Amino acid sequence: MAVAAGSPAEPSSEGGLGQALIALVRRLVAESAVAAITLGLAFVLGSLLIICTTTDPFAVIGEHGFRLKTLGLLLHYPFNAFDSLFSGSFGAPDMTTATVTFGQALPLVFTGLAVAFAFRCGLFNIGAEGQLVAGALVASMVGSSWSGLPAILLVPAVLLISLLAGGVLGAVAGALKAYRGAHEVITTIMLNYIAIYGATAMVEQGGPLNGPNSNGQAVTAHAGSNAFLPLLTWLGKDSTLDAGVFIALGCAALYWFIFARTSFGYEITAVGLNPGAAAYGGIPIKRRMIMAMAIAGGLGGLAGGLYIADPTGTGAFQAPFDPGWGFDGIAIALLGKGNPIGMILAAILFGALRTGSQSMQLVGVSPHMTEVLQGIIVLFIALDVIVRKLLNRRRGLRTPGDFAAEWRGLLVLAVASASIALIFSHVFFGALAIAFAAVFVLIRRQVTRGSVAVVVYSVICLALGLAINQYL
Amino acid sequence: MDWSVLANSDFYAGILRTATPLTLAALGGVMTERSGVTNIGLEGLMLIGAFFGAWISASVGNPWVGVMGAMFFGGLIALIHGVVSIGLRGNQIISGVAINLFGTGITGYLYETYVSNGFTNLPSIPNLTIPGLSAIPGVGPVIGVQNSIVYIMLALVAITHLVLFHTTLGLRIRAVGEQPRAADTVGVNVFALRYLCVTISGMLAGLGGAYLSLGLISNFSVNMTSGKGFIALAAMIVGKWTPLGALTASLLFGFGLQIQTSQLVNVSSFASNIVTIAPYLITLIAVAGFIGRATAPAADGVPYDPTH
Repeated sequence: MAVAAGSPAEPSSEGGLGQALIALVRRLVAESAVAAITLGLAFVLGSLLIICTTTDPFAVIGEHGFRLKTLGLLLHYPFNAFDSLFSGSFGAPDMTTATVTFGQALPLVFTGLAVAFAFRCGLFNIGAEGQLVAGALVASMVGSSWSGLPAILLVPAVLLISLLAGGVLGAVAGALKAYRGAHEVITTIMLNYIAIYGATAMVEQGGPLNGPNSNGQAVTAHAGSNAFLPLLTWLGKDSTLDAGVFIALGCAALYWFIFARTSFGYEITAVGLNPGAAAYGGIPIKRRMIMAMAIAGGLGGLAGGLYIADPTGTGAFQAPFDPGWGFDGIAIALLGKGNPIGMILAAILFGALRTGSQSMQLVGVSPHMTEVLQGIIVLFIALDVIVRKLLNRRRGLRTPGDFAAEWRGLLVLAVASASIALIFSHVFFGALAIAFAAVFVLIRRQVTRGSVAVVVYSVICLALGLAINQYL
Repeated sequence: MDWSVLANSDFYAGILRTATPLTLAALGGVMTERSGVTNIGLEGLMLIGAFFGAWISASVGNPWVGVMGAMFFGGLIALIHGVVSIGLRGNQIISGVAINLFGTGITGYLYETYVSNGFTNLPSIPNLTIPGLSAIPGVGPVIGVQNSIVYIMLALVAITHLVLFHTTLGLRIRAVGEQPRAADTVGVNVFALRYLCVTISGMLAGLGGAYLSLGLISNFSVNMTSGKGFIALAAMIVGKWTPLGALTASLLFGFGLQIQTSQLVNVSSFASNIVTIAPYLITLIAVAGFIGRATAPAADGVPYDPTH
C-alpha cells in the first residue's frame, strides 16, 4: 500500500466503504483546515499592510478613539480591497469574470501538476516556467508553419510538440540528477533562464525565429486560427474560456489515476519516499527519476502550448514571455498537497488573485498586493509542519493523523467561515461557521469549550460585519 | 563583432561594475551555504535592497544612509528565512521561493503606493579615485576610478576569504555547514552561527541591490533585478562556494552581460542575445561536474535537529 509522504491517515481498506468514506472526509477536513489557516494568516498580514499603507492608523485612532466606528474605518480599507478582489474575479452575475478567472487558473493547473509530479519522485521542479516557455515557443512554430492542416490535426500537433519540448527540458534536469548528481533545484533554475533568454534571442529582430510581420518586435509568426482550441461559448457570450479546461481536468484525472492505480505511479512514489529501498526492491530509480521529470516537464510545456492554442490570444510567441505561472505552480502544488482536486482549487484561488488584482487597483490598492499575499502563503506552506504541530499541541497529540481523528479541523473551518462573514458581511458564511461548529459537536457528542468559543466568535464576527458595514 | 573593444579599458571597467552586484549577492550565498542553509531567495533580497536603498536615500538625501537601510532590510528579511529554515526547520527551498515572491510583491507594492513615478533627486553613491593607481594608463580607468561600492565589494571578497579560511570563526562556520553534529559536540553553537550567516547573506544581497539602484542604474523600477539574484546563485556554484571563486565567476558572467548591453560592443542582435544564456549554461555544466565538480557543503539545506 502506498502512503503519500506527509499525508495523514490514509483510508484503510479493512473497514468497508463507509469507514473509508469517513476517513476521506476526515482527511479532507484536516487538510482544508491547514489550508484555511495558511490563507487566513496571509490575508490577516495583508490586511495589516493595506491598513498601514493606505491610511495612518494612529491618526484614525487618535481622532475617533477606541470605538466600533474606528475599527470600521480601519478595516474598511482591506475589506474593500478584498471585496473588489473577489468581485473582480467572480462577481459578475453572468459567468464573464468567472471565465476569466478560470482561464487564468488553466495554465496554473498544469504548472501545479508539473511541480507535484516531480515532487512525488522526491524532486523539486522549479523549472515549470522554462518548460512552459519552451512549450509555447515550439507550439507557435508548429502552429504557424503547418497552418494548412485542419484544426483536428493541428491542435493536437501544437499541444503534443509543446509537451515534448517541456518534456525534453525536464528530462535534461532529471538525467543530470540521476547520472551526474546535479541538484535539480539548481539545474531547473538555470534551465529556466536558458529557455527564457534563449527563446527571446530566437524571436528578436535578427533571430532565426523572428516572424515575417514582426515590424521590429520580438515576436514569432502568428499561428493560424486552425491552431486554436474552441471557445466554450455555451458558458456565456463573453466567455473567454476554451476547451483547454477539459485537457486540464483530464490531466488532473490522469495524475490521480497514475498514482492511485498504476505500478508506474507506485514506483515513482517509492523512489521519492526512499530511493535506497526502491532500488533494493528492483525499481530502476535513475530511469524513474528521468521519466518523472520528463512527464513533469511535459505538463509544464502543455501550459505553454495551451497559451498558443488559446483563441483569445494572438497565437504567437512574443518576448519577453515570462508570465510567472511556473512559480505559482510551486505554491499551488504545495497548497494543494499534491492532491489533484486540492491543486485545482488552489489554481482557481491563484487565478482569482491574478484576475482580481486589476479590480483591486480601482480602489487604490496596488496589484502587487497579490504577490505579497502569495509570498506570505508560500512562507506559511514552508512552515506546514509547524502549523500541524500547533493544531496538535493542545491535547498533546503526536502525529498529524491524531489531529484529523479529533475532527478539530471543523472548528478551524468554522473560524475561517466566520472571518469571511466578517469581511464580506455575509450572513451565509456566518451560518456556515455555526454549521461547522454544530457538526463538530454532533460528531464528538459533547459541547467542548472550543466549540462554544467558536460559536461565540462566529456570532461576534457576523454582528461586527453587519455593524461595520454601516460605516462603509 | 568589433574585437578592438577588448583593448578598451572602459569595457573592462564596465565588466567590473556589472560584476559588483553579482559578487556581493554571491558572497552572501557563500556565507549562508557554507553554514549549511541554502538561500535561493537572493533575488528577492536584492530587490528589497534596491528598493529600500533608493527609497531611504531619496527621503534622507544621503546615499550611505540608504545603503545602511538596504542592508538592514535585506538582513531582516533574510532573518525571517533563517527563523523558518533554522529555528522552525521548515523547507528552505520553499522559504526561498517565498522570499522571492514576497520581495517582488512588497517592493512593487510600496513603490506603486508611495513613489509610482520614479525617484526624483535620488543621490548617487560617489566615485572613489585611488591616487597613483588612477594615473596608470590602461589600468587606471578600470580600478583607479570606480564607484565606492566597487571597492567595498573587493574589500568584502578579501575579508570573507580571510574570515572563512583563516580564522577560527570561519573554521566553525564551515564545520557547521559540513558536520553540524560534530561541531555541536565540541561546543560550537550551530544555530547562532547559522543565524549569523543567513543574516549576513541578506545584508550582502541588500548591499548588492542598493548598488543597482544607487550606483549602477541610479533609479528603481519594479522587478529591476530581473534574475541577477539567480545569476549570483550561479556564480556562487561555479565559484565552488568560495569568495574568490564567486568574484571570478561574477566577472565571467559580467563579461557576458557586458557584451550584451555595452554601447562599446557592436554585435549583431542574435549573437548578443544568445550570449545572455552563457552564465546559466556554464553553471549547468559546472553542477553536472563536466568542468571541475562543484560540490555543495555536506549539510547544505539540511536543518539541524539536536534532538535526533
